[in-house]
Amino acid sequence: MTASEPTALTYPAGLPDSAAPLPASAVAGGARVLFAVLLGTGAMLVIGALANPKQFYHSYLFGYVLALDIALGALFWTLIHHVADAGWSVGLRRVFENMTRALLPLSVLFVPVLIGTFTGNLHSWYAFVHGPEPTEGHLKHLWHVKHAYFATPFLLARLALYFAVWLTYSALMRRWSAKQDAVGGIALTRKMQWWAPSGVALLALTSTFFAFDILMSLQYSWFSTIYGVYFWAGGIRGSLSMVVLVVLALRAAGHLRNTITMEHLHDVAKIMFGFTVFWTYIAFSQYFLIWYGNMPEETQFYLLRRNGSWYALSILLPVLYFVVPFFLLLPRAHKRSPFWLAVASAWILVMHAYDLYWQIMPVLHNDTVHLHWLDFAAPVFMLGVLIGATAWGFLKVPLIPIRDARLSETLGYENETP
Amino acid sequence: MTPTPHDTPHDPLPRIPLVWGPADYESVSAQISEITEKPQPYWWWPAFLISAALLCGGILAATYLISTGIGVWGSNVPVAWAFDITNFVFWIGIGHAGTLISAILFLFRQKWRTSINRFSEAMTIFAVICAGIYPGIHVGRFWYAWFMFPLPNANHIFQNFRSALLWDLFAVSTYFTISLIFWYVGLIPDLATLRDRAKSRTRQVIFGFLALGWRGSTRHWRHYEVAYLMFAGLSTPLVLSVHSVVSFDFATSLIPGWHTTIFPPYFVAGAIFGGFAMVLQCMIPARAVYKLENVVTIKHIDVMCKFILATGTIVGYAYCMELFIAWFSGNPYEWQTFKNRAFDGDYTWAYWVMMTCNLIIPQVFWFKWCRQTPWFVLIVVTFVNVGMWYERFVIIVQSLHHDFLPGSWGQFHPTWVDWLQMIGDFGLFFTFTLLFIRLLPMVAVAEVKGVLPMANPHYHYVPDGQYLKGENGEYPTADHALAAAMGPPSRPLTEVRSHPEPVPALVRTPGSDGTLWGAVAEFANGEQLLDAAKKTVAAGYGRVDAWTPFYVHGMKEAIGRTRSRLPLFTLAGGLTGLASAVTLVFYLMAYYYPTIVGGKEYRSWEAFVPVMFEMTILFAGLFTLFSLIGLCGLPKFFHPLDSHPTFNRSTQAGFFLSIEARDPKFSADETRAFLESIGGKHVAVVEA
Repeated sequence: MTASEPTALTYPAGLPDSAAPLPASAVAGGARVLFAVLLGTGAMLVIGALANPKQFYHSYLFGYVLALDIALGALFWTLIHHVADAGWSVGLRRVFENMTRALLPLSVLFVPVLIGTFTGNLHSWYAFVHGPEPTEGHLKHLWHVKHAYFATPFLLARLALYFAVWLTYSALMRRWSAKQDAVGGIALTRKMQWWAPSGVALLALTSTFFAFDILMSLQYSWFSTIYGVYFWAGGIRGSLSMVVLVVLALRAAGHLRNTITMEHLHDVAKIMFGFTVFWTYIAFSQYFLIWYGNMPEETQFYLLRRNGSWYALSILLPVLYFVVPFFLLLPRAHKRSPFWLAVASAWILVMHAYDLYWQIMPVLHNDTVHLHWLDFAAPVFMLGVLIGATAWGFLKVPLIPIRDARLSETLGYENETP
Repeated sequence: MTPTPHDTPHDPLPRIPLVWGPADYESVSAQISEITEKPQPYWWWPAFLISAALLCGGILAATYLISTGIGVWGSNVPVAWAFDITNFVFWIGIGHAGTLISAILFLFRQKWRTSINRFSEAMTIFAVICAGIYPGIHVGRFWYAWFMFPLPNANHIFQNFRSALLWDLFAVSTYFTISLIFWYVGLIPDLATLRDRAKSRTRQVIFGFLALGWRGSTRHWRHYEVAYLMFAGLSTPLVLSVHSVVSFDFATSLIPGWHTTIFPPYFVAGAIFGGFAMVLQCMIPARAVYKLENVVTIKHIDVMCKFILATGTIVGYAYCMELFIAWFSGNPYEWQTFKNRAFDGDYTWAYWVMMTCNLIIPQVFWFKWCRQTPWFVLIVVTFVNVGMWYERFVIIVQSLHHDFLPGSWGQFHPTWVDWLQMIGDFGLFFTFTLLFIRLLPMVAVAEVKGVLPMANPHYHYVPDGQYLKGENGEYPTADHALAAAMGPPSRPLTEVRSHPEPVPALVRTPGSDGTLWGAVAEFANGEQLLDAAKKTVAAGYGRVDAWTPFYVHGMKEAIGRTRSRLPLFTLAGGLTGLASAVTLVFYLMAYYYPTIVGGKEYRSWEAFVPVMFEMTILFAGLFTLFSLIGLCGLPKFFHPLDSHPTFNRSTQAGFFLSIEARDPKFSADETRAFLESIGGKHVAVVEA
């Protein structure tokens, strides 16, 4: 990473704002708060792990997936920027790149999930496939399939592969991007554009199978071919709202005010609106086809989420995660207002957590909702890791790709809506 | 005003203009319009006659079917759906590329779409017509087609609003209506161009009628641009819904191979994939024959191939998900079906044709040579079209022929009527496409003008030798060199083109009583006009209008107007449609004649969502159309300005500014002098 040494950089003339990495002093206060939060929630997680392992592993998984799929969403947007040869989003790309820095700590933090699985505290298939072969015909067939698919070496090998793909592509994209800050030119732009399409394809496959292996298999006899798409749709939305919040925070602190403007955020808001509809489309397709077909092995997913107060959560999910953000983001004035944009993004982020909670927790508490303090500690800890990793990036590299070949298009960009 | 990025002397990676070579407003208008104005090349007639002959074959097949009965087809029990629904889904899918290009790419501001959107939108309409035949004839009793519409039968029973087949009717008819409106609205400025170029009275009257009196007024453009955005916004979820609803025909059932949750997005991706293939299939020859290489450039083909690669890979992903879940679910029926499809059934060949054509062959588009060699692309997209037909065949016939019970297994053998009907569709499609090429502008002229470098006031011209070169004086990519080889773009005119006869100071309007309508002046380019409009408004004139061949960015503000309120009408239409649909379905299905279908409750809302969605979009689209026409005050076939000798340039390459006599500040002599003082040419006062 020698190329990202701030001293080696020459900043092009005419940048509307300082793009220099933030000095450590600028974030010292925030860093202390973040550190305290991480320490506090980390301690809570340790206590939780000792006191109530089953609850701990489920809450942990909930928090973990929340941060992971936002980081994966950020990787998706970084890659898509290059695939589309985009110009307007050059400045935003650096924020996404910095968000993908969380993938490294998150790879380490995946270990407790594995421990949860292999101690039988998390995935119920563990007991099933490691138990004796059933004699009843259908169960026997199921056992053979799951036994093969969840065989420990195969499972570990493919999980390692997923993380390897994510870490490799995110590290390469960050490295080349930082290197371009130093050397400029178009060779690195073309290199990133050359690699990005394969990255999107591999990201799609690996995150699908991650969702199958870790989330869908919480109810191992349930299955849905669209589940991978549902997982991305959530992560893509989550990362968009995160990027808006990060940019608004930077702007509020006085950085990049003329570089990433409301013109850019207006476009991000449009995409957020689009993905709000997309998520609903995917969620409805899954629910609708299962509801219409009414087959027991499929409906078990939704039936479980009709028990007790889970039913209320199920009904509220489309209202809170679709109807509210839809109307929040529909007016043009809202998309161009920092206040409303912050409200909508924070809302989507919280509702994204709600969605994941609704997907994961009924497996543990299948009678009704039991909120546990770990359900707050885990997501706060994980989002803290995500924010910390993102902020770390702003200390290390310039706030925007200062010598990107398309930089001129992002500066002074104007939204061309009629 | 901060300096714009375009003032930088050297872009390291210059954007390649969308239209190559020295095109200007005039040449683009002429290039596209002349295709419809001049005699067709010789091959057009044989192509048309062959297509029409195939179409006649289709009509013959349908007539035979209707007069004899469904037995003339190979469809049987268990394969009750075969070629008919395969063709239906195939053609509906073809249509999707048009909407993707016209709506979704518009929303994503992918301006390269302007070169191909008109052609693909036309294809959408023809493809939906091809598809729309099947719901009418596929039971062989055409005279019962009215059963599809929400009308009660003799026992006062209405349609089953919980049936995927009825959702199809709503989805496809909404799709057809909205696509037609979108296409027509897009055509209006170009129809006006054809009208103003017309040499014969007949053409002038026909295109004048169709153009509704469009003259490029900024007061119209301001509504038009917003309406176009609304149509794009409505069409985007609509196009997703249409193939999703088509996929529900299968996925709501329990047949193994049909009932799977990924069907909706998978069908949509497949539709766009197949549609792009068909667009290229027609566009590559048309581009070569009509010498459109500067408008539909090799980069357009390149990008479309990338879309084919992306959507083909998404479709491949869906195939793999189906196959994987069939195994992973532990559902023996599902696995049996996929084993039968892929490995040991009667139709494994069809499955592998599909896999090869849709997933494997398009992977060649990872290589640039394959994307940029038109004849090679033509071969690949032919495979894609075949593959997409087989995909539907595999889904439909293979799944039906081998369901749960061995006792109900059967085979399907198409008859000559099946084949003739299928070929007849291609005849219909190509007949319409050829007529379209012959009669209407196949490239969106006004939109292409709007993306020319000369239309962009920030475009940075470099000395000709530097065109598209990077900082080091080299072409950054081979594409830059290709584009540069066709020459640098023209610069906007700085002088108004002269007119053979002098324009009189007072233009008489036939039949006028001598009252004045206002004054008008011509300007050389959009920038000058923008400047003049600002000066006019600053001078205190209120009733100012600018007349341009395409919407000039910033013009509505310059003439003192704000953003159109048209979206409120769209919203009102959407809410009206939703309310009507809710009333219709709940009243009919839960109160008027309560019916239980598939064990669902009377009031279960889920099954009504498709109809509610489609009617929301349909009404929103119709309201948008009517409010556009109403707000613009169209149709307006005669206008005082028509008497001005150069005014018909306003739909081709001319830029005009008008001040109405109703303006309190208006005075014939002073206003005329004012317009001349701000640089207007061909200034005249026009009688009302």
